Amino acid sequence: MASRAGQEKALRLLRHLPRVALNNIDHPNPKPASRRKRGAHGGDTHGAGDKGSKARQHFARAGFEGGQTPFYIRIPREDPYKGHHLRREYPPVSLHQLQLMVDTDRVDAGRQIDLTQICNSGLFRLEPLRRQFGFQLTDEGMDEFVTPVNLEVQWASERVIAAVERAGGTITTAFYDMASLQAMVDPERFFKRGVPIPRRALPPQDAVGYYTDPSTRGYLADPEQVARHRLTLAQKYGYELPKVKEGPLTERKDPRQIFFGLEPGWLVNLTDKQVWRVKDPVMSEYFRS
Amino acid sequence: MLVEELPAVEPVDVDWSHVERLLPRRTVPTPTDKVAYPSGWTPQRGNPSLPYSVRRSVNHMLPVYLRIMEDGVKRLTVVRNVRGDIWKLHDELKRHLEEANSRYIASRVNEVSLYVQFKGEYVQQVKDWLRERGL
Repeated sequence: MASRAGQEKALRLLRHLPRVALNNIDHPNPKPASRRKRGAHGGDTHGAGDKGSKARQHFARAGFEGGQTPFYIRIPREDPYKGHHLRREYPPVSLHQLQLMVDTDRVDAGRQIDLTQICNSGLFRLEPLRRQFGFQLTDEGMDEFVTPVNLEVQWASERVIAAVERAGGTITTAFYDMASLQAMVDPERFFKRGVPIPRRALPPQDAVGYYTDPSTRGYLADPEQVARHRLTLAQKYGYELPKVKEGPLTERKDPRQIFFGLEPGWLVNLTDKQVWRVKDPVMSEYFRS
Repeated sequence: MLVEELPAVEPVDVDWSHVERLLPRRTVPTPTDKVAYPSGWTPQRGNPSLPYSVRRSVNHMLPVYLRIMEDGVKRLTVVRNVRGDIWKLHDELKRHLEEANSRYIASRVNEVSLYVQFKGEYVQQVKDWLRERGL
């Protein structure tokens, strides 16, 4: 134990010395800096030992473990893109963008806003051939969303549904198959093809659950159940559920219909402004079912 | 397929407005005057007291953009299509941004291409400043 004077001298000295760091104290060095093999003591075989494949720069292939099954073969493969061509995509549309479209009259808030109306605004583009099956509504701007609208999207989260219903609107999630999507994304181009309006197909097995569920406002769900879920959602998020009048805000399409006022099987002639339907009873029965 | 083999059709009496509704507009609509705009967008009201103005885009939006360069490291706020005294707009806007953010902001004026650039991400602040002035 140093004397009091010695301790004080040491502390006084410490004030003038540089900060303690790894480069000014004694500590073990497990990895000393490597030195080149040169000169009298580094020369001759230059660290390669005597003879052998290693000394002659003829090494085994990378990954070889002397015959033991190498690591890159031992570990099983994982396919990150397996089935990617079967996965459906839903490009996003935010509530802020929707409110902006309504404010700038890019979209008519008096009628139902569906896939076609969003595409017709010119601001969003859907490519069904790239497995884009519709739009999903995101929650960005949900606090500022106040316009009552009748929406039909392909996917929406619970919060987004609550935001739309709190504003006094209605929202439905609906499925459209590939043929229907081609028609909906560009109806003008579709009518010019001279093909009758397709009958919408039912959702595939992995989507049936979502579109028959009243909590996600699926188009195949029981309307009474949907009404009950509207109430419970209002209670959950703590807002007063506004009364929605029967009219443009509640208009719904038939599950087999893709355009309002037009039935599947009808042919639209834009030039003559005429709509045609097939007389054959078997065909018309198919379209009407 | 021969014409005789095609299925027989009959005309349908339908409200043509249903078809017209499906056809897109050819031009961008002029937004109508409303009491309030919940999204934060405001129409261009104009401000004759100012020696400068900005030209709105075809979609009636403010020409303030964020340029992200060098793999996300460099961010520039650009105000395009500035008319009138571009240096006046630059000086006033720079003063406002530096005060609001309590830091020096590097900026650049291009008199030929009519844009003003600020180093950093200030798109929302610039838009709010322009909106306050009715531009």
